[in-house]
Amino acid sequence: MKRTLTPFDGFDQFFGRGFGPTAADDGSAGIAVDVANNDDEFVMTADLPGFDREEIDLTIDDAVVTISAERHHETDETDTNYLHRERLTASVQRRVRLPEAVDDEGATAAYHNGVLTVTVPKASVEMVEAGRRIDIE
Amino acid sequence: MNRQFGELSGGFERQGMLSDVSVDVADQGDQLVVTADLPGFSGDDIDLRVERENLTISAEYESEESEETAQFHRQERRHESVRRQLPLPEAVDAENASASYNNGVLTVTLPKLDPESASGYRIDVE
Repeated sequence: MKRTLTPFDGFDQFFGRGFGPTAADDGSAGIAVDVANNDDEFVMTADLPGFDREEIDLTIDDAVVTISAERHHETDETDTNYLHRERLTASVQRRVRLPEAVDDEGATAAYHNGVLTVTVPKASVEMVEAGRRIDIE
Repeated sequence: MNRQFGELSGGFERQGMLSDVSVDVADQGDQLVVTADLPGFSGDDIDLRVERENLTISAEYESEESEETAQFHRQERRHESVRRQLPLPEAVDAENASASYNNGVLTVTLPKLDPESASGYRIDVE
């Protein structure tokens, strides 16, 4: 489902003011992404069919998640005659800004059946206010 | 032959516009290899039908728990079940077709039907 931008779209307008939608979200074709906004975490799901785990590079920096996937081994194509090609075979990258402060260090990720799932805990109130939370043991 | 291929690729494109499943079709001499992106399914969710000159790929999502109640900040991925029907450029030996699913990609290998044996029985040479 493509998201249509309108001037009255509250969220995009909000971010549009500060960074421009392109600054943090390149919106490039290639990787379709869902971001679920749960109570205490964001769960980002990305379709990345045909990659190996090692080919996927994932970083998070100040609530901006960057997924890069590079294909190292293409199936032996030298003597393959393609009658039809639709699948993307190039390397892909996608950058998505999460809409709230998060705990970057608490992010986890899994790759299964061609789908990458990134779970990022939301920042607690203390983190947001104090900048850094210190656990009491 | 060329005309035939032209018609066929036209068919691919028409279907592609309506389809959720991206496919590659490769001719490897004695077999056709169809590769399809089906991220997020498990092998059990995928149903494959091969006829002489037709391949149908269907995949059904098992209802994912929690997704129904989740609030989405962004939702671009497809969650419906998908289906793709592909006309094949030549007759294939459906009985000897094989398929594998790995990392969200389905690979279907379809041995071509030997034109000479098309009218009779095919005998494997071991």
